[in-house]
Amino acid sequence: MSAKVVLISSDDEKFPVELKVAEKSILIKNMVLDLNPDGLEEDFEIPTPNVRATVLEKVIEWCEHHKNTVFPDEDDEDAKKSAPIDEWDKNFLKVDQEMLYEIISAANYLNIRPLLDAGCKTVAEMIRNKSPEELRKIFNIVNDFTPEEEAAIRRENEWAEDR
Amino acid sequence: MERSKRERQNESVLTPFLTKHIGDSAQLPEDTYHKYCYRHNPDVHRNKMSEVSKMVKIQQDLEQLAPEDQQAITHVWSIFSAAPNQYRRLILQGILSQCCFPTLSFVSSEVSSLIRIDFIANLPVEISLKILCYLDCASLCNAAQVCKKWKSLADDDRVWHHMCEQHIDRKCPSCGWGLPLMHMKRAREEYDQYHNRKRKIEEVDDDTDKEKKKEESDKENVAVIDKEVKKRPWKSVYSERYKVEKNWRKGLYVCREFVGHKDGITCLQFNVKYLITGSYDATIKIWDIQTGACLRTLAGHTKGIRSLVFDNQKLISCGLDSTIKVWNYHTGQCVSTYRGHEDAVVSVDFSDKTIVSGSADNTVKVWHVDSRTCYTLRGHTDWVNSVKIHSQSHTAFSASDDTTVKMWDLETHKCLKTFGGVESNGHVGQVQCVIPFTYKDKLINDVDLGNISDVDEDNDNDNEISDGGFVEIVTDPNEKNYPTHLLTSSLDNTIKVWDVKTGKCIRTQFGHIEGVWSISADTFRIVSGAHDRMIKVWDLQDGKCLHTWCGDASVSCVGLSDSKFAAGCDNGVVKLFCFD
Amino acid sequence: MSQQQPLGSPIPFPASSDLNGTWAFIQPSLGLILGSSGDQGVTSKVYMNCYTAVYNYCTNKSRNGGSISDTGPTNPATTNSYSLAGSEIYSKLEKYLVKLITSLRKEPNESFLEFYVRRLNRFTIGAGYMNNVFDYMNRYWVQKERSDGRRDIYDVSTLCVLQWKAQMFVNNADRLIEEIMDQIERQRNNEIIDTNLISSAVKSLVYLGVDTQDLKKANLVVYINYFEKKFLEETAKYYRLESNEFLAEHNVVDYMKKCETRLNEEISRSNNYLEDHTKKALVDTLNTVLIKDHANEMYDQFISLLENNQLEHIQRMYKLMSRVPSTLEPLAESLERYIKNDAIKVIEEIKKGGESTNNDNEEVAAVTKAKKSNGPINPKTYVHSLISVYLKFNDVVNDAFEKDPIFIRALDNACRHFVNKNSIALVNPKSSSKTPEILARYADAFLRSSSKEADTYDMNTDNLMIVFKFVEDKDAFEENYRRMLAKRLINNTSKSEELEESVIKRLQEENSLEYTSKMNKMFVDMKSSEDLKMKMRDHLVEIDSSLKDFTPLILASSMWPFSKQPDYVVKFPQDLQDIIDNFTELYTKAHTGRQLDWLWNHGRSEIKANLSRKGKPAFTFIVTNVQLLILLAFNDRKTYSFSELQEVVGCPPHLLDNQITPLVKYKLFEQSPSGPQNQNKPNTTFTIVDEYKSRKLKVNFVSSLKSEQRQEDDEISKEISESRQLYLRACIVRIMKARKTISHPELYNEVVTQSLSRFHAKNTDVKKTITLLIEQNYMKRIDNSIYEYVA
Repeated sequence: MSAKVVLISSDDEKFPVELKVAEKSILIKNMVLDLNPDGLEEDFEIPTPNVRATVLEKVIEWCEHHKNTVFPDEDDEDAKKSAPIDEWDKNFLKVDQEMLYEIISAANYLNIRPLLDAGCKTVAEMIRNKSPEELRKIFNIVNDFTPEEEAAIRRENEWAEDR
Repeated sequence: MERSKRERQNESVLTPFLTKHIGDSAQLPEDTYHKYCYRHNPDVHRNKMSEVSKMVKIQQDLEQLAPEDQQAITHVWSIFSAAPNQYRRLILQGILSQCCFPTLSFVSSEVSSLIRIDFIANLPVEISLKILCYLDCASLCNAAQVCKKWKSLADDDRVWHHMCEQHIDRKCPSCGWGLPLMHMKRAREEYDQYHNRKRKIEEVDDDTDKEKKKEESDKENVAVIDKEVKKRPWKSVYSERYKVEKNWRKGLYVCREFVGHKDGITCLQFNVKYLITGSYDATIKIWDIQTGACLRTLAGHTKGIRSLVFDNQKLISCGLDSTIKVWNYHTGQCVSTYRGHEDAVVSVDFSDKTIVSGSADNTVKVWHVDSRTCYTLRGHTDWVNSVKIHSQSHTAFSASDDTTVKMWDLETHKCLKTFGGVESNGHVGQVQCVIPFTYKDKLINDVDLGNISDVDEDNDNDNEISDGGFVEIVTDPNEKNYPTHLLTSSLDNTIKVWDVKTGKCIRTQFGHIEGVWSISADTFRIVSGAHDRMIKVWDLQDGKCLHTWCGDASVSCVGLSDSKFAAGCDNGVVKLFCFD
Repeated sequence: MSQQQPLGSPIPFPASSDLNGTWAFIQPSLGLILGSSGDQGVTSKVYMNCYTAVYNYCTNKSRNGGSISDTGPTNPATTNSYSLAGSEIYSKLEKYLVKLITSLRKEPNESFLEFYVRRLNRFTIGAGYMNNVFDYMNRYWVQKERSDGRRDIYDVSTLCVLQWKAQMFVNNADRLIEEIMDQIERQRNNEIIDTNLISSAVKSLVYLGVDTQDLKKANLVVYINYFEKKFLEETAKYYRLESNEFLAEHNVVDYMKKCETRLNEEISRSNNYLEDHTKKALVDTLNTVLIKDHANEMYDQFISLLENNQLEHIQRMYKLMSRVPSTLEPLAESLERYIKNDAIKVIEEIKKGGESTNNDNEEVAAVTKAKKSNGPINPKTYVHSLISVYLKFNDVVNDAFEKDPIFIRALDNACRHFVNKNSIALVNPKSSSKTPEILARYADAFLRSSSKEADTYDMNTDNLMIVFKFVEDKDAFEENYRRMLAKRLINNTSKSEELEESVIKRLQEENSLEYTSKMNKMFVDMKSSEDLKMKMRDHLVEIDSSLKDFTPLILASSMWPFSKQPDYVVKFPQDLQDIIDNFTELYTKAHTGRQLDWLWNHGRSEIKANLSRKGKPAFTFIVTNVQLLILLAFNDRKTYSFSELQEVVGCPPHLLDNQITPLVKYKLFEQSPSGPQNQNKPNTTFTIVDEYKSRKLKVNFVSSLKSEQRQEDDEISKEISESRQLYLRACIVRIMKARKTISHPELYNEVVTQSLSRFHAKNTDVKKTITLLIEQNYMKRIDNSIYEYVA
């Protein structure tokens, strides 16, 4: 029985996971390596004070699903930015904005690059092709421009309209 | 009695509960983002308008009830608010399990309208920028109009730098747009001059901030586009080119005419400053491209001029008098004359210290200026109409009336390849113009359009044929940087794209009604001028004809740059179409 | 906000906007991680808390505080983008590291080295943790700063290394290195030390060599500058001292043994803790100091080792010296000289007649006779002595020098020298070497059937070939050998045809096909003569039934070293003459265009003589042709005078005189007046005896003929020099034709190279040939020493 890593959420819930799954998070991977240079002998507890239990659960679910996926080289900007979101990830991220927000934060915190990318792409999809008013509505944003400012900015960005 | 008892009971339940949990400060980090959730975070600027109106409504509804009911309901609310998270969940679960579906539906719609998070403003900057990088430019501009915070992020240099990298001088893989390079290496005065003019156009704007910013950037140096731009924001770099590209796509242009020649124009070339034209009237005219004025006329050829090329220092022309002349066009002097051809010299090209010329005596001559030697390349059986040097691989290409194009090695002076013949789907008429180029991305060819059945293809594993065949040129280190493709135009009304490695024509573009005299191409477009007085602009990648204009006379020569193209006609007039 | 609580109870996180609070929060954990406060274990909780605090700070700052032209080192007006949080933490971290490192103190009971290694190890591990704890900052802020051009911002691990280097290492470098050197020296003095310490310290030097330009590259700069140089110096010094001391008290052989042990030690030591970069330099230094500097002593010892034939020590010396290839040359030269001297000694012995491998009296007698008369040297002795020298040193080269080509070359040079140019071979310096001739005689000795078995038991083809390899004037050998072979063939005195053929084959392999072509042809001639004889016999039987047994040998005159002597004329009696004529007729008819010249000076006849006592069988005499004629004459009469005999036989007087001598000597004739001086007087009569007395039935009157040895010698050398001339001419013309123009030294070199397989071309000979060719208009001279080919 291989040893497991136990992730403890901010509300003290424990989630045991296999090492391979947990290693999707670079933070956890490095820490396990640093503190257990000879390998994991027994269950290793890791507190994650910035991540709530529900979010942690979701993140672990993602890691579990992708535990065997090989992600392409992280530095290749082009491939990353133009590749579409994986189908499963797309469905996985069909959650309310709060959860999405927390997943993105957690991915950033735990340094899980592919999940962070997927989350960002999802948000980008939400923003794409919407007028400013629609954007304000979707994200519940207050318009803090004066009417003159707004008009000026509109003119400034006119060139991009109407392809 | 009972009520008070009940109340007291409630209170007794309530008070300890309240005292217990309110004092219970959870061990959360003290910063606002961890202590408070999004809703209650004082630092988050949400649109609270809807909430305010909701609260007002709740208040109104509550006031309509009886006082006991009010108290009861308020108790419920207090208990709930005092309870810590786990208890709240418990309470909610219980409530929800009691609800019937209409209530649940109500809950669901309320929740979905309530949970709205401003991601861009609340995530760390690095993440927000990451999200914005995934957007296209229209969405980015929309985002910039949402609110101040969004604007500052959406206009961030990093995002636009990335956009520029994706689009300028290449076709963006996701949106398919490619923006012209529009060389920024201009002399400072010129830049200012250009920029001043631009500012004049935008004088209507009274946005002083923007003007100031532009002034600032004027005063600083102008940077080359691929280095890190120090002063000028990338967004404006992008927008400038975007506008030009949009004009290209829409066909919005300003036309300028250059009148002065007394006979048909045979050749032209232009750069940022000058337009230089050659004509059958044996003169070469140098025009200022901005004003349209003729600056100088060079006379010296005894008969009509057939072709010219120039760079910053010199101009080389050739004509029907079988000579090639080298001029210093700043002073107007003819520097040297090369004689050697036995018949009219129809085309000329140069690179470094080598001049290549094609002539009506069926030969191509290579002149080495330093060693004063001349090599004659024989092989064509008819007039050589067009010669182009590909300097990276030290090769030259020649197109001839014998319907073939030949590729010559300039070091060994041997013919490396001949492009032509029926089996490689070659021209059937005299080839007028040849342009070698290197294209690394997908180039849509006739196989996918079902026009030819046998074309060499190297299929990439990822792309299917339906995408547009992937003609991949493997860069062999031995292969000396040969160009990957050729463009040719011919009197058989077609423009053809050839694969250099296999020697076969992979695409034929139809559309002209009479012979195509001249073509010019850059990273994105091909412009062609033909005897049927039409000027057509084609997309380089897929070969579609994007625009067609009609001229007054047969178009004998065309030139193309990022934001303009020029067409010279048989009536001695040059038309310059500007898309910026 | 700075609450220092024990780790057991939960500590509240600081506010994310509070820099000082955050820092105070993480500082104790940093201490733990970097190990300054007593090596307590770092738990995951500490780790995560630190990381989280840093994360919170960075993200919060960028959430709220970040704006265009944020405070920071960058110019406000120049950035159009957000700056990220991190610079404050970075600077605080830097200061903290400085403080921490400078506060490290060594324990009283450990050496500086130990302290350093221990601390550094801990620090390195800690730096790794730190890097991960500050990962968020690394990921975003450091990357951004670096890509903006601020190359002095590093990721945390590099920062740690650089700080360590700046604070701890640079100040204490000397002390550290000194201690390391000290440790190494102790180990050399066979004290036990902790090798791990040294290897960690040395590795740490590599670790510290971070290249600030390219952070990914490992850099040996620190290692080389601080450690390697000093190390090599110290090593050289130490061993120089040791080797000098040692040699002063011990002999070279022991010294060599010590060298070996020391070298092995150093190599194993270097594998333990030196970088690959140094290993080569170390070996070089050691080689120089231990071996090269003492090469001369070793050379001196070498001679005595050779004399005592101590192969093991020689091998040891060879192994040592082969580490420094430049020292091998002098050694080889020394060997060569020694071999030559040894050979000279051996030759002297031969001359004195002291060496004799055979107890046979005749052998000794021959040698002493040679000594007395300074006459011809016994080939066997000569050859065998040469071979013994060669073999002895061949063993040395093979065993001690492990067949090293340099030494093989030395051996070959020496052998070539003494084989050709020893005092026996070169009677005087200008004459040509006699070795080929002697060697040919050696070969003849064991190929001849008349040699005694006892003499030849250890003479064989192998020995022959060994010496043959070294002979320079191979064409001289060929000439001599061929003549002797010819004699053997026609006189049928060769021991076995197979042996002859095997020798020729070996010669052919060693040299070339062309070399042995004449010899092969001779064999072919013999065979074809045999066939011819059979054919002719059948034919002649038809013509004349009373045929005597007549075996002509038809030989191609160009291959065989016989020439027609014009005054060797004989008159055959009619019946013999008929046979001869018939045969000639038949032959010329069969092979038109060929000319037959009868060489009567060669050839043997057997004649039956009924001169024996009654009852005993007849004698068989083996005689030359002239003797045959003489004896046949005595069939008619019993007595002849000299002049009568001369008339009958028909040969010149001196020839007759020569031929008659053995007949008289062996008492077949009675001469009156007797005495050798009267033999050729015209009136001297010869009477054949009635009864011949001899122990053997077969009597040979041929072998005691005085062979015209001197004449033959002259002939031989004439042949040789003529053929050489021809060869040189052909060679030079060939070269000129190919090159058109060539300078004299070049031409000479080419000629020498090309003729190497046959003989050593002398400059005078070449010059003579060139002059000849110029006269004959094959080439002409331009300038002083350039020649041009004339077509």
